[in-house]
Amino acid sequence: MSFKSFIAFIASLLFALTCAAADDAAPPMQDRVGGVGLNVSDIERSLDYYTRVLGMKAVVKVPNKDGGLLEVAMNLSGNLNDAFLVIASGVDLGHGAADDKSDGDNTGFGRVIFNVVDAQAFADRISAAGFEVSKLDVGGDNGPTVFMAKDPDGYILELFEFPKPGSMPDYLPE
Amino acid sequence: MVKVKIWDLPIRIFHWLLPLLLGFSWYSAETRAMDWHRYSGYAVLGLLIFRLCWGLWGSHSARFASFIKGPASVLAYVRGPKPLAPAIVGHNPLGGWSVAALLLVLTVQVGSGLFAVDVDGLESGPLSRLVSFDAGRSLADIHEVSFNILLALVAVHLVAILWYEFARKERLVMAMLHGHKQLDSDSHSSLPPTPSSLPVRLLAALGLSAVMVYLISSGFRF
Repeated sequence: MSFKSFIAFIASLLFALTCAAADDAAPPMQDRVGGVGLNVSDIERSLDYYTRVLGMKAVVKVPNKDGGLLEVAMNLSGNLNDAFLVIASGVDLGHGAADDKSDGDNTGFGRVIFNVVDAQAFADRISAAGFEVSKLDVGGDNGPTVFMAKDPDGYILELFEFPKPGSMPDYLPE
Repeated sequence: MVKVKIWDLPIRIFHWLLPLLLGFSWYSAETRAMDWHRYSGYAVLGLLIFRLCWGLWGSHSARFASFIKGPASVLAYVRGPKPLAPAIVGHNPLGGWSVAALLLVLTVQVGSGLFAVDVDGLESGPLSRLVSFDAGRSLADIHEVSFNILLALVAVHLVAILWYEFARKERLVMAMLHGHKQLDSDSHSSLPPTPSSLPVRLLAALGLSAVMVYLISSGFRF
């Protein structure tokens, strides 16, 4: 094998890597209302209802500690960038939200989810206006940045910050 | 005794880049550096496509046809006279299947990674949009399982190398570095000559690998 071929080999590898580096497959990250969340008593039963009966497709499935499901986001397109419905079971929404219900099954309206580039900026705006907002501990140091807020009627808003491209956040509390 | 070339340079570079990239892929996955994990995966994809091309177009010892043997040859090699066939140039009949197994699992590893997706639907392989979220999650599980199988095959490979190195005194590691092997002069005559069109084939294999990696890593979006 000649020296020339060796150079060609290395050059081609570098070329392939450059091509790969040019790829930007990440979804567009724009502030938006991502969707709404419902607290459900039996997440598998609800998942079956929304997917099999209504024909929705899962776009996010966060497992819980026991290997079951903590929450599932779904929509009709199966595209993560379209608005979604989240069903959640046993999720801590902050503010003692899971304990609000007196009947003990923790069902009911969950929250409105905002997907934002800078959650801290939204939180600052809310607290500057004198409303309730707090950081939620999700997954410890490796978790995504999430704030929970309450509107004047007490509806819960979730400010979910898009994870940094290339990072893989933890969704379970430590 | 005569010194003959058994591994061409592209094969040797392919061989040594592979453990480096697999190690880096492992490290980047463990540290959640998913951008780097993807780039590393694209490089492994390029190596894999190149190796498949080289298995068809490369020099004699690189070709699948030269080392993928039927069960009869494998049995004959395993049961054969001691010391076993010292004049074998390239992969022996048993080692050939270990190469095939490694390449197969590597293909599953890279292939599943291309379609894999994380629980939040965000970090994903470049082709994950072509499959449903649930299928992407299943492939992410396969990606983890096949890596463990790959590690097991690597362990078998290392044990075999050590056994040949110390029990059989066959210097396989050095041969993979400098590409040469000491042979009896009479067995040398049976070696097929290196074809003169090899550099052209090398460029073709490299070009095809680069184009494929570009297309796949961009998710076939232009």
